[in-house]
Order: sequence, then structure tokens, then C-alpha cells
Amino acid sequence: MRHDPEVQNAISRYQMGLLRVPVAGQSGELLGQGTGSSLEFQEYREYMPGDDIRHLDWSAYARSDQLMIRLFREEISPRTEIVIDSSRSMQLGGEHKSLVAKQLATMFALMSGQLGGRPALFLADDRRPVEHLTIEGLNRLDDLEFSGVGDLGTILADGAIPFKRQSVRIIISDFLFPHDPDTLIRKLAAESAALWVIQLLNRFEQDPTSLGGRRLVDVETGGETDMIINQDRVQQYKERLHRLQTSLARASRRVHAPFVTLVAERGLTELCQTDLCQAGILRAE
Amino acid sequence: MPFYFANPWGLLGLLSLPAIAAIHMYHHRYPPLLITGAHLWGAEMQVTTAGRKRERLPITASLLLELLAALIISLTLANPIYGNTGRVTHLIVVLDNSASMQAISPEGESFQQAALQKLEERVRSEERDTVLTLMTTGRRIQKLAGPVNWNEAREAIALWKPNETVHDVQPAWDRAVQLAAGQGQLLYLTDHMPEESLRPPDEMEIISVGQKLSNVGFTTARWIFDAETQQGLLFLRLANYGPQTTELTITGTVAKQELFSRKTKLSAKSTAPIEIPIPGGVGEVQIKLSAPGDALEIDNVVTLIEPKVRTVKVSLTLPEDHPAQDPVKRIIDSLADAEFTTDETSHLEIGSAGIKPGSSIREWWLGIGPMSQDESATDNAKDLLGPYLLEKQNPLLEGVVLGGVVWGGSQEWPYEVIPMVSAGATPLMGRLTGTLTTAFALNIDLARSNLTQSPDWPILLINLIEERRRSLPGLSRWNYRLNEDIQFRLYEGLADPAAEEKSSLSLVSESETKPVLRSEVVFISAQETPGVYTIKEGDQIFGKFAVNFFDPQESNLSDLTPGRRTASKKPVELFALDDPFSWLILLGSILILLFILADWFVLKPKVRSS
Repeated sequence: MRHDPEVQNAISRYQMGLLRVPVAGQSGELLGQGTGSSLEFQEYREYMPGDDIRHLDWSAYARSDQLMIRLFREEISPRTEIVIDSSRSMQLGGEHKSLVAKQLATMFALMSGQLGGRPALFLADDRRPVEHLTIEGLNRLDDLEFSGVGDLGTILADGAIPFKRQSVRIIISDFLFPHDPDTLIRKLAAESAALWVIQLLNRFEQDPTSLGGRRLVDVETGGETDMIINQDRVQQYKERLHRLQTSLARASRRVHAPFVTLVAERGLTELCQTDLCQAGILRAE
Repeated sequence: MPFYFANPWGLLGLLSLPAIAAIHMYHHRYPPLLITGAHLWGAEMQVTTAGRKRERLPITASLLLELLAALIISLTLANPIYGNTGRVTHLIVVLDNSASMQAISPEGESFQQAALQKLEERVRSEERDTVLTLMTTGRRIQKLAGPVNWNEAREAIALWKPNETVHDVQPAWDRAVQLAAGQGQLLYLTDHMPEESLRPPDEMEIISVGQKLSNVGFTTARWIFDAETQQGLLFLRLANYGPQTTELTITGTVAKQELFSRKTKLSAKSTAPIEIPIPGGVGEVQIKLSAPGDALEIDNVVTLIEPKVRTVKVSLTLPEDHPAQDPVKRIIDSLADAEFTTDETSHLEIGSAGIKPGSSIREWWLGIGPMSQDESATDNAKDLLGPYLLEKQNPLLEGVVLGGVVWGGSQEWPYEVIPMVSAGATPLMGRLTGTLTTAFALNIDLARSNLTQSPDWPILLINLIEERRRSLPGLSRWNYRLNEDIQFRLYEGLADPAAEEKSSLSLVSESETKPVLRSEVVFISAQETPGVYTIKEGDQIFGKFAVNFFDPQESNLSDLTPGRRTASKKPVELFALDDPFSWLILLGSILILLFILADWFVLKPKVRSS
């Protein structure tokens, strides 16, 4: 997956859209939330005992007769935590959904690596502790089987993912499990520097059509029921999905997190170019 | 109570139930669709356990409706019978139609009512439903109703009025046995137990509700009219059938005006004649008899119609010196309702036997010898002393014996006759052949015979006059008994004089008007109801006659006794009605239709989506 042409193309054309987002981490290429030692001027403040006198602005002192300290933005390298939903639902609708999920995870990991960060990739499935991949172990994604039956909410509730404080968290999931969006997003955003919420769906999940009588089989719970999938049913599904997506977007907005819904069948290249860029998750170099 | 299916093959339809279940289980399984987020589909998922999968039959409204429809179709076809609901008792009731059934007991209940009460008790006592066939005894066996249920039978019985004179009841029993055909029960309701010699059918139950009662009544009533005096005489015979002397009141009314009233005492079990003069021209009189404790009403009333005078006109064409001239005149003159005439309106011509009469169907003729006045013929004539051979069946010779009569002057017959009186091979009196005229001839020379001195002479002539009178158009009698046939001549001759007018003939009674077939001689079958009957020709009244009840046997209630005889033989099977549960089949059909419609309604969205 590391050598996937689409991934390679993406990392060559885009970088993570973290500029306007205050983050924390090691010194690096990304600007931190606090003042630091970078050359990018941020603001003035009054001198306080203990401040580095090298940052005193003498010109300002001459103009205002006050000792002013010149503050510069801190440059950091972000800690990126990518959570990929590894449940069975992520492989529904053919190989598109699972492929794009892997591509996205790989892309974000590589982008974070390029920034000097140390990305951590969590495979959210039924295993405890949750499998944790580093940038060196990205090849493991090639063999990733989406076989989990637990949902992200349960995993978070179990505290199975060891999130670090002030990390940039990227969540890739379909979010089609029963949950409360506010609670879920708050938990994901807790003590994070930044949170990106990516909902990845296949085309049928995003835009289902009438199929007539079908036996619905829940791929994770194994539950079954007979249903006539007609226009009414489809309309009702769409309304419920829309409410879910609106709730997720609203909850994300509350924690300053971008939320985007991707349809896997459109391919990584198009998704990066349109949806992810529009959401500010990526920006062209 | 037994339960069974009249058509068990219909139960094969129950095989459709598992078939429908299988169809719902397998045929209606949808192709699987793997999803996540079932809650977004609004579906309640059912988790199946691991291992070998056994699908539960989806209990849907469609399945239930189809199973119910199939079940009811099968049961309807199988025709379930619970208990004896499919069979009923067929009770064939023979009602004694005797007039005595009208008798009213001191308690105020008639035998007829008592019989009906017994019948109702009998019907109520049956465990199962009963259908009845009702028939009455009589000269003409009548079926009142049947097979009908009790309510309909009761309505038919309400119209029943027993008024028959004594009659044979066996034909009605035989008809009832024939109707039962081994499947029905027989019941004979009467007011007296029939004698064992009559051999009532063994399978027939007999209930008698009669009891000994006092009764008085008319046994005879006649109206005799004297044409000479133009006065009438009522001759009545009364009977007291009770055990005590009874005072009777006899009242005659004309047009609701009392004409006479008589009181008389009649000792127990006796009869008495009464004669009551009545003026001429009254027309119709109703005579009522009343007595205390009288049980039967029908024999207490008599209506009589005044007889009409039907004078027979005789033309005498005998020569003045004919030896029969005076004997004939003497007889005719003595008859009040016969007269001589010389015009063409005569009904009977009496002339010399030597001259053969003309041929006319309306004419009657009597020829009296000698056949020839020739000396040689007279000399060769025979005088006979008998014995005489008389055709006794001929009404003209009724009462004629010719004992001691010398039949003198018998000559050769100049024409052919059918002998009526003969001496050896010699016909002495006969009916002429070869002529339409009703012609009789006496081959006799009264100057050489003592016939006119014998009683046979007036008898012979009066018989002839009466026979001619009977043949005249119009009613010859005006008062009849019940069940007596009525016969009269409508017109004389072969052709109906009113044929062109096409006047219909009808018999009008108080209750109905019946058409009567027109012919020269009209026959009206015996009437079964007492009363006055009018014969109408078109709108014109042709005549009136009365029918009265006279039957000493039916009037005598002193021998009636209650009783009961159970049937010694039971019917083999119960009577099965045709399609007794059509309403159940109808209900089943409606339910089936409803289930099918409901099933269609339930499945409608499925059809639309597909």
C-alpha cells in the first residue's frame, strides 16, 4: 500500500492541512499553538521577568517607552494518530471501501512522516490491545482483513486505543454503527490537538436504490430480517443517514474538527482533489 | 353427539396447509443483502445462532389469511356434521277430516284444537328438528303442507276445517305410508280410535282426542213444494245422540227474518220428524237447531232452496176412440206438475204406436198400440199372461212388476225396438231405434188388456213423466248432501244454443268462484263445504242449490273415546333434507372471499414494489 500509485501521487501533491490549526508536538515543520523559536513573528506582549531579553523590541520601547517582547510561533513536528475502523462493514460493497480506507490511512501516515512526525496507526477491531502500526509497519495494511465485529464506540469505551495528548487524530470509519455522535466525537477529540473525522461509505450506503424483497444481513452482528426495499424504504434510509451525517458534522464542528463523507467508488485521487481539500484536511503543495 | 364429515374427501384440502406453509418458508425467502447500520433501515434484526440453520416459519398476516382460507375451504367441502343437525325427523301427520273433529268439549276446546296441541307436544318432544307433512283423510286426500317446519305447518293447520261425512280413512293411511318410504314417522290424529279390523299401519302412531259428548242435529231436511197449492212443506228429521232428553228450538229464517220457531223435546238417543208448512215463493230458508250442551255445530244448520216447479207439457195425439185415451188423461190430470198442451211447446207426445214419430232430439214420444187397426192384424194379435221379462235397470220400469197383467193385442212390430218388456221372444215394450226422438212404444191393445187397471199403469206413466222432467234443462234438484255429485241438463239438443255468446259457466260460493265446463249435461263434483252455491251463466244466474251436512254417524259423538297407540315399527333412517346448511356454505364462502381479499390487501405493497 505504501507504493500504491494513488497514494504516492497524493503525497506528492498534497500535504496535511494543519497550518491554521494549533497543534502540539516536537519542533518541526508545523507551527505549534504556543510561541516558540521559529522566525515567524506572532505578536507582542509586555516584558515579564525571566523573558529572553534577546526578544526585546527596542524600537517599540523607543516608541512607547514600554518593554515589549517579540513573540515568535513555535515550530513543531505533529504526533499523528490514525484510527482505521477495521470492522467487517468496511469491506462491504466490493473492494472499493476497504481499498480507499487503506489508501487513506497510508497516505496520512506517510504525510505525517514527511513532516517529521511519528504517525501511529490503530487498527480498531476486536483485538485487545488494539493493533498499533508505526510508519515502518505500514506494509501490514496490505494484509489487513476487515474482520472485526465491534464498533468504534465500544472500542473507545473500552479505552482500547492509547491516545496521546495533543496529538492529531484522523478517524477513518463509516460511522454506521448505532452511536451518539456528540459523545463519540467528544471522546475522540478529548485532549487532542486536532481531530479529522472521515466517514467512508460505499455508493449503495450513501445512495441506495430500490431492490425489492431482500433479506438484510448485518455483516457484523449476523442479524437478519426480511424487507421490501422500495422507494419509501430508501427515502426513509436516506433521511436517517442524513440526520446521522448532520449530527456528526455538528458534533465535529463543536470541537473544531473537519468532517467529511467520502464515497469510496470515486477513488482516492478524486477524493483528495475534491472532498478532502474542500474540507481543509489536505492542501495542495 | 356424533361428529362426522358428510364428504370426507374434502379433507384432502387440508394438505394445502403444509403446502402453503412451505411456500411461505422457502418460496418467499429473499436474496440476502449484506449491510451495516441496520438501524438506518428501520429494521429489527434477528440474530440466528451458529450451527445448522433451521429457519423459523415467518408468521405473517398473509400466511395466516391463506391458511385460514384453505382451512375453511377444506372444511366447507368436507361438510362437517355435528350431532343430528344434518338430519331431521320427518313426521307425516294424517289428520282425521271428519266433521266430528269440530265438536267442542265442555272445556271449550274443540277436538281439532286438542289434536293440534298433541301434535305440538309431539313435535316439541323430538330431540332434533322436525319437518312435517300434513294430510287429511276424506274422499279426496288432501296434502295441507309438507315437508315444512313447525311454524309453516301451524299456518297450514290454521286453515284446516274438518267437515267430511263418514269416509274411509285407509287410503290416507296408505298414502302416508307411501310418503314415509321407511324414513318418516307416521301419526294419525283423530277423535276415535280406529277399529283393529281396519288394520292401521304398524309404523303409525295413533292419538285420539275424542270424548263422549251430547249432540243434537238434523239428519234429514227436505223442502217439498206442491205445485197445485203453491205451498211448501219442510220435512225435517231431528236426532238426539245424547244420553238425556233435550229441549230443542228450531228456528227458520228467510233473509234474516224469522219465519218460524218451534220448540220440542227429544228423548235420549232418539229421532223425531217434524213437518213445517212454508208458503210458496220464499226462495231460501235457513233452519237452525239449538239445544243446551250441544257439542257439534255443523249439523245444527240447514239451508234449503225452494224447489222450482218444472211442469211437463204433454200433447195427446191419440184418436178419440183409442182405448188409451181415458187412462192416459186420468193419470196426467192427477199430476200437479204435468199438463196437456196442444201447441209445439210440448215436452212429450203420447200417440198411436202405429204411426212412427219423426226424428228430433228434443222430442219425447210414447206410442200406445194397437199397432194396426186392420182386422187381420187384430185377429192375429196375441194376448199374453206372462211371465214378463222387464229391463229393471231402465228408470221407466222402476216399480213396475206387471203381476197379473194380461198383455193383450200384441201384434207384429212395424219398426225395430230395443226391448224393455218382453214375453219370451216377443218384445212388448221397447225403445225405438233409428230415430233421434226419445221414443218408446207399447205393443198392446188396451181394449184387450187389464194393464190400465193395474198399479203398474200409473207407475209406468209417472216414471215417463218424471224421466222427461229430469231431462228438461235446469236444475232438477236444489238441495244436496255433502259429498253428493250435482248433475243437470244445461240445454236440450246436440248444439249449445249459447255457444256463439260463449257465456262461461261458473259456480259461485261464499268463498270462491270456480269455472264449470259447459256441456249438454253439466256435472259438478261433490261439494265439501255446506252452503248455498249459485250457478252463473255469464252474468245471469242459471240456478241455485244448497249443500247441507247430514251424517248421523258423524253427528253421533257418544262413542268417541280418547286413546293412544304407539307405533310398533320405527323408521329405519331419519329424513335428510336437501342441503340443510346452505347458510353455512354461504357463510364459509363469504369468509373465504374475505380472507382472500384481505390477503390481497396485505400483499398489495409487495406487488406494487415488484
